[in-house]
Amino acid sequence: MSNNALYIYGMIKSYDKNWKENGMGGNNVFLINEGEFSAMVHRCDEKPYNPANPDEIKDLIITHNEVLDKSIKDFGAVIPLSFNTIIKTSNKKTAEENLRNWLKDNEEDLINIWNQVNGKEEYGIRIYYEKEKLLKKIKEFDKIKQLQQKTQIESAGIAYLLKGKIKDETNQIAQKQIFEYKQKFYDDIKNLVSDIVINQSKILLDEEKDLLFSISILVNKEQIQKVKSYLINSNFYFNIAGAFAPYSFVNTQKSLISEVSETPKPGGFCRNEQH
Amino acid sequence: MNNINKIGIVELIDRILEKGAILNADLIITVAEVPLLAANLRLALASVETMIKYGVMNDWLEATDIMEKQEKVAEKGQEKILIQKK
Repeated sequence: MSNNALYIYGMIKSYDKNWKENGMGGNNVFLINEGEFSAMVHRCDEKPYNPANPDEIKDLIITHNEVLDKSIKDFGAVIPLSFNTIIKTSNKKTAEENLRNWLKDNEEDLINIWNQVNGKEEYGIRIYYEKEKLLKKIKEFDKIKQLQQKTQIESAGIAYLLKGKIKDETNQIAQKQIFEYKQKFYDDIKNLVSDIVINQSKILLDEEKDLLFSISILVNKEQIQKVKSYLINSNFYFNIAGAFAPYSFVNTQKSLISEVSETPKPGGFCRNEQH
Repeated sequence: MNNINKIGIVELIDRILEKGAILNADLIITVAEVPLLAANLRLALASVETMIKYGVMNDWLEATDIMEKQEKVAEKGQEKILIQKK
């Protein structure tokens, strides 16, 4: 039987029976309400969207996001779901019954999430360091300079060993410096935002070899101005992109009022570390 | 496509495919057995890059606040900070 499943884009704490939007594949997106929340859905088959053509994937992703953006404009906030979340029939219950039951069972959690994200948006920030400049700075450290001087006066064999030691010392100092950069940035930025998480991107750009780390922040309109001002005046090189629906701050299976408690841990010249 | 646009697209794709609220596994159709989307992330990105090249995603990019700070080193060794905002 076709069209017995529901593709769900997100939830809003409101209901408007007349609200509709064009969804993926031209499907009509409408609201299903239960209690305080409504889910934005379109009817679909019980199978995930899985096109072979990358252009079609792109169209689906963009449309999914457009529906969420529209809902933020219309209702002030949204609890987004990830792409390809499709509610199926089960235990002789229709997909709509399953969705209504889920909304009812999770209403308290949804209220907590809604209160956290309402009036706020998500931005992505990528912070970079300059590896060459860092290595140049480390060369001026007393410890490295002393080792370097020793290589000039020692025999070729010992000089070879000392060069290995210089390399190890340089790497250790670099790791410590990078950790301190991360710590400083994290400490500074967490005081300006409502919430913050460290990202692990699945897509690594070739030009991002000097990525210090990537974070998501949850901010209101005042906070984002302060963050931008901080970034512009800092010594960090950065990219900032948004606003996005609060994808990174709506985990229904974790503590719902997240705390800004996570701190970076030391690392080497790694990219996209998961902390 | 410039680097700013690419970052914006990557940030979007990362979020839509990997994040968001989670429903009970017994209620939803699992996509774990469907490797195509994950495997095609790069293809999807490449596709999006092509679309941007031809202006298809201009509306989304214009609506998205994307900025970056770069360092340009002048010939005399002086540094200049450049803020770019799309």
